[in-house]
Amino acid sequence: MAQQSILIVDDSSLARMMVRNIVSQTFPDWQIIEAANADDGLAKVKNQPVSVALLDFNMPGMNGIDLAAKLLELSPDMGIHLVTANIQDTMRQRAEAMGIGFIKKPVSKDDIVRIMGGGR
Amino acid sequence: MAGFENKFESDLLLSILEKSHDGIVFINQQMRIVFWNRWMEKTSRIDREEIIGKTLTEAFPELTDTRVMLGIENALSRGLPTTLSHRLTNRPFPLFQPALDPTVSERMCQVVYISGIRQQDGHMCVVQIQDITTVVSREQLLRHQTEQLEIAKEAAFNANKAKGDFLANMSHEIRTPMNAIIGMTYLLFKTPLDDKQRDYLSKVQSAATSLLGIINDILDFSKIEAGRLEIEHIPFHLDDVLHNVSNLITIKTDEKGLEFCFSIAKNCPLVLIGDPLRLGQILVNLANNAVKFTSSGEVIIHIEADEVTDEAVSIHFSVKDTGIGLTKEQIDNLFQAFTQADASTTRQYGGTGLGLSISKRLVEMMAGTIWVESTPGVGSTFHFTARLARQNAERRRFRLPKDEYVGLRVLLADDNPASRDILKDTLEAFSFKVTPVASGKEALALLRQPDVQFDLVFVDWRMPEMDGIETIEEINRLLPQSKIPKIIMVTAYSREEVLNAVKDVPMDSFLLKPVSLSIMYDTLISVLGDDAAKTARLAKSHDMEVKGLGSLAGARILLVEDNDINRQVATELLQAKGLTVDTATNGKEAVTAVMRHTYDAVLMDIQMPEMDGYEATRQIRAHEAFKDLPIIAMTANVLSGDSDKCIAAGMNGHIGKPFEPDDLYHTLVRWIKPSERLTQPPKSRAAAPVHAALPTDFQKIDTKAGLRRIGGNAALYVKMLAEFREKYQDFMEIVRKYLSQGGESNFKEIYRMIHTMSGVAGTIGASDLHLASQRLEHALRDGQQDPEPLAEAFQLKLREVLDELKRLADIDNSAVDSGIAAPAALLDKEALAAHIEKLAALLENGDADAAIELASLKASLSEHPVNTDLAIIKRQIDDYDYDSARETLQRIAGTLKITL
Amino acid sequence: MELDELEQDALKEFFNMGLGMAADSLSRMVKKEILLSLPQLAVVDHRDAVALVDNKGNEQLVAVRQIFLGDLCGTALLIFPGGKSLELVRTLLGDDVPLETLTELEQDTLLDVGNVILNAFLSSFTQMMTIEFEFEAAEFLKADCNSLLDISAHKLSCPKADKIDNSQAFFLMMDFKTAEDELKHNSLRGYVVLLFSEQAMIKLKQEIARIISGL
Repeated sequence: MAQQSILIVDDSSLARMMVRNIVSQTFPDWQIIEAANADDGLAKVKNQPVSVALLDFNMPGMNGIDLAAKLLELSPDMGIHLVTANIQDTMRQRAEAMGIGFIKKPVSKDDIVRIMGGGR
Repeated sequence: MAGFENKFESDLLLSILEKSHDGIVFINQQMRIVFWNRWMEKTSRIDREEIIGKTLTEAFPELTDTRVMLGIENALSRGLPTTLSHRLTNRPFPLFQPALDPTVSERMCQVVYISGIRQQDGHMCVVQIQDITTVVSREQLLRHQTEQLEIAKEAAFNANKAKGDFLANMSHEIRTPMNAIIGMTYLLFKTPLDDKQRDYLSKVQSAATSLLGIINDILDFSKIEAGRLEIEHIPFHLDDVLHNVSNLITIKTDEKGLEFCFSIAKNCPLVLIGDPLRLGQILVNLANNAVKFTSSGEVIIHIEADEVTDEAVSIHFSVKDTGIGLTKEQIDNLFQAFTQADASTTRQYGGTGLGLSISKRLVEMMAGTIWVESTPGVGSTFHFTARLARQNAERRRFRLPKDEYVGLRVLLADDNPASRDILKDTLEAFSFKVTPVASGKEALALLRQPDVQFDLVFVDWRMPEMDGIETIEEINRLLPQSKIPKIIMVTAYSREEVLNAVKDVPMDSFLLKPVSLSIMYDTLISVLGDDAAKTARLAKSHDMEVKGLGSLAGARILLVEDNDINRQVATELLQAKGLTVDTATNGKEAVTAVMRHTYDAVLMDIQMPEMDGYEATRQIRAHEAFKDLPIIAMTANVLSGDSDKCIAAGMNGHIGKPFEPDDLYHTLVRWIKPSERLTQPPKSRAAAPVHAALPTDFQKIDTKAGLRRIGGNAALYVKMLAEFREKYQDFMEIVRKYLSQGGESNFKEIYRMIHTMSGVAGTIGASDLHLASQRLEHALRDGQQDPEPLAEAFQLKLREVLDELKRLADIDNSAVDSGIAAPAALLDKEALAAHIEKLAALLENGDADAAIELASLKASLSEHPVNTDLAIIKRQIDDYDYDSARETLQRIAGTLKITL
Repeated sequence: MELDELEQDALKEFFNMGLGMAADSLSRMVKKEILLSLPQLAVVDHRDAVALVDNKGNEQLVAVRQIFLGDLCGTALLIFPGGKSLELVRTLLGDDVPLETLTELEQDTLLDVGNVILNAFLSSFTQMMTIEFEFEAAEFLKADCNSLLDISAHKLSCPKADKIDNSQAFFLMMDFKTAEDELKHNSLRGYVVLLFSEQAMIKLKQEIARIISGL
């Protein structure tokens, strides 16, 4: 079985570190790919298949929702989750409407287990 | 409770909390209520025994998922404090206002403070509740009152606006009948009137004019109130404004025997840009007030520049009187609308009390201020300033035409010091050396000195001891003819009065006060003998307009007006100036008429049945051919919005109703340019040459009207007058003879003769005679029993006219010919021959239609020398003397080289 | 206090989370979507903070203050410049509160709103930290900008040894709008300023370093 990989896109390095920290502790055999913005994220996905993507909503340039739409086009099976500090219901509804997951910041270990535990 | 050092302290603190004026609740980590003070017991109606130990959700299920609960959770988990305001908290604690009867007590409005207190095992939550019900109701009351105030303010604003609209509407409603009154009065003046009727009518006219003035004041005021008054920025000459002011005010100062002067500082530019009408309105208003409240003394308008730059000037105007003056209290209320100095003043002096408040607003719109200084019993001075732009490259209009006039020596005699100073300043503005003296005696004393010489003498007419006339006569006696300077009399009295009084006084000219610079200039130039310069002076705008009026004759106008009277007024006013008038009574008819005929202009009423003026204009403008047709709105709605609407509908301009005849003419002159005339203008009529034989001072014959009626041909007119004199010299005796014989046939004959004579009398302008003969004629026609009193009156009038005609110089027939304009063949020879043949045939048969045919021939030959002879035929036809008429026609045909 | 790039980034992320929470709380309160953004974050001294609060005419500012004590001593301020404080209330309540007057009730309302915003910031700021905080209740203030941003004017009850000076402040500019405002391109600008004692500043830096190193 090929090594699974998770894409973390967030303009905050702290936020990426926090997620990487949890993932590497909980699922040590997963490959972790990081990107600081949407374009970077898209480029990296083209080189490598990704099972799970965690996307920050509020980033300079393309936002997380628009990035999610592009990623779904490229790879409809990808498990995509919007990660955001904006935890209002309207944001959650937007994510649901697109058929992607919604995680509120800060990301917890429980969140990671819930979305990756299935072991895609 | 744990945590206190000793029981005493903890008991003390607990009882303080217990007795607090706020609600106090402690909640522990397990969300259980552990403290419930007395205030909470009373307001929640839950005793502590009942509630302590319960969780918050057990005690108050309705608080689940509320902000209260969230706040408590925050405090317990993180120690964060929460303040819950009344407005943002939907469901606070269910607490009630204290009341004995629980069924009537109200829910309490509250502010909830939640805070966390850190303890060893986490946080304890303290909830503190404040009753703000009274604050809320007070605030609601305040809000309610504010709303009420807003509503009241709005209502007051609307009421005020409604008042303004009402005033505007009312003045509109009043202006429409005023149009009829003023117009009909004007027309009535043109008909024969006896002295009594003329007097009544002039009183009607003056009352109507003053009523219109009041309505205009009200309208101006409501326009100001509605913010619809606008100030124009057009080039004008200050002197023209003053001239108009002087025309209006001197009538009144004359009546009251007041001095009225202008004093214009040399620093003040005169060629300006601004609103001359409104400026004049302010000055007229202030001057009128000054005259109204002054019974003796003087009214002086002083003008000087406060601040002059190349582009603009701030001018300080003041109007000073020697009237009753004002007290401090009166001044304080003066510029408010509807007030006069006090109520008794209103009774004594009348007036709307709007003038000053209108003036104040107008001044403010000219970026100026208005104020008054006054001493009761001594007089008042009203001041105002106005900022006006200057026209580029102001030329000195009053430069003397010849250098030799510079420094002329002028002697000035006037007993009124103010008037004297002003005249001195004015004369000095022309670079003259002025010596002012206060009486005729002093003037003579100076002139008597052998070494003193003057080039010009200005003498005031009315002076104590020795008046102007005596002074002038004395100067003539005193000095040898060659040494007599040019003498100009200055007077505040009206032209007619002066003319009569000074007919034989040996002087060169006279000046009417107030003396404006331009009038002084004209007078000086005419006295000093340089008439060429006078004509070179810029012609005034109103002269131009009068000049243009002649070119309107023959123009064809479509008059669209639904009101019968107004239609009649306008039609007659237009016809009086030789215009051809077609009428339409609504927009639909107007559109049809415009499609069928060629018009030089359309005068269009706005509010009409079927189709209004706006729509009619739009339909006319829809045709390319009529895009330049001048369409002038006639509207009694004079608010600026209406004029905008007129322009938007495609009209060229508008004239407000009621209009003065001159307004109507000016408007038409403005829009009908001779070069663009669509209809054929008649051959230009030379201005009537004043005929030497025609006296200008006839009383019983209106020579102006008569002359006008025969197209301004003075020679012909004189001839007609002479013929009248000869023909009717013995007319009364003939009439008497027939009357005494009695009998129907005799009566018939008298009737015919008088009928003829009546027509001629009307034509030559003997209107009283015309009227008297008509009365007699009607009495005879109706077979009245005793026509004697009417015959008596007729005889008197005829005698008066004949007496007057005795002064008519004997006719020099050559003068008739020379007075006639160059012959103009308006009809070609063939058409003319046809006319003459037809007329000859009619005369042959004794057909009454001969008169009609003659009229049309006369019209065609109006400028032709033979017209004189046609008039003779007319008389002969009128006298039923067809044979003579045929002979005359033969002669005319010969002159015209037409063979009958 | 010098913060390296990572530390700055960390702070910004904390505040972003706080902003998200604040928006959520307000949104629940008024039942409409609230959009908050943080165009500027800076660590500045007193003078620069005064310059940053765009206060034309130096009029009285309206602010909500929340003092914190304990291991970290300082105060959080929510400031609305130019008499805009009531606009926040109006935006939230969507009604026609007259702007000229701030009545007693409206003061309470503003206090409530400010409290919610500051609480959200403070809780996200503190939830990553191991420091124990204690807070005083929110207060309503009216003062000129200079004294409002002067930490010594706030009478903090810090331990005697702790130095309170104006050397440092966290300054956050916040734009605030509802969905309707978004359409109309309206937004309301407010400032969140955190003033710390010297001790608190040191502790804060240590805490940030600890969080980062723990990752």
